[in-house]
Amino acid sequence: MIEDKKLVWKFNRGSKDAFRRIYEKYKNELLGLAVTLLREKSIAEDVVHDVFVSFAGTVGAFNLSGTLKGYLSTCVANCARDRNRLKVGQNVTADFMPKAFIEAMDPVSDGPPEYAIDCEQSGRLMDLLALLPYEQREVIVLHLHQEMRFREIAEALGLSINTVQSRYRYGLEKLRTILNSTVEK
Amino acid sequence: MKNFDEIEKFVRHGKPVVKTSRQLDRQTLDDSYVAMEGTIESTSKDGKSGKLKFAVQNRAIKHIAAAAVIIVVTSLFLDRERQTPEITTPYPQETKLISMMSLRLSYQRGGFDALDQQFRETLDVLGPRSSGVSMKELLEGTNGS
Repeated sequence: MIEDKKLVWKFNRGSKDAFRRIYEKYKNELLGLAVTLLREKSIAEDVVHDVFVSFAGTVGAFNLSGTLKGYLSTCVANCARDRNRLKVGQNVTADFMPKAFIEAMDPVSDGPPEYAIDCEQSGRLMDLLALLPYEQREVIVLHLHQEMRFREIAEALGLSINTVQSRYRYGLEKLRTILNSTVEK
Repeated sequence: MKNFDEIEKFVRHGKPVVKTSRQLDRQTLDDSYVAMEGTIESTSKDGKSGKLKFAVQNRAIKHIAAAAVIIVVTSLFLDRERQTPEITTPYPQETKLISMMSLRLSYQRGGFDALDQQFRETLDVLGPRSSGVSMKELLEGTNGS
């Protein structure tokens, strides 16, 4: 947090090195968020690119009120929502395996079997999340993956905290229903 | 999975670990640097006129503050002048000039200069050794009697 504030301070004074360090620190996390929300690597990459370029444009006037990670995650979520609107109508089923997502996976697990399990679990989660309405998916991912508080999410998305919490609850309820029905089969 | 905790755990564990490509890194950083330079350039252009505007505003604020101080001080002074009671004593002119009360009032109005002026006037009226005014009359007003 203090490191981020220091980086932002340097960035505001035009330090390219500080900007590069911010990018290096959050690029993979934000790409993961974009991929989870959009399920398409190329669009997710565009989102990350656009978010960082517009962030760079705020040099000298950027005012960090919360956390930098929260701010950038919100930017990605907002940008992803706009992109998602463009591709509304695209039919996604539970059988869809996000090939682009698997391609983007980084083999950080201990060995090939663990990597395969991680990929499988992440792929399965992606399939399940894709069945949720975008608004619910967004709140679940921001809360559980980006570790943002409900209040932070509410402020960032311009919603009431009750709306955010109810979207989260409905989303988890739906996930539970889907998972239970899959187990019964 | 029955409860929310298990679902939350499942979602947390399924967080994807992805890595950006070198091409994306290069492209993003290049474009970002261009954006940064553009912003810095436009800010520095606006900065000159902005500084001038600030200086003008600053000068105007200084003038307004100075005027306000002058008005406040003047009004306070006039108010005090108005509040200073005009004491009329039933004593003759000589007594009025030399009594402790009148000397104190003179000092309050104009300091040592006023006091000096009053002494001179008294001297003109009474002369160097006046016997027309008694000591009792001269000290009238010093002890409140």
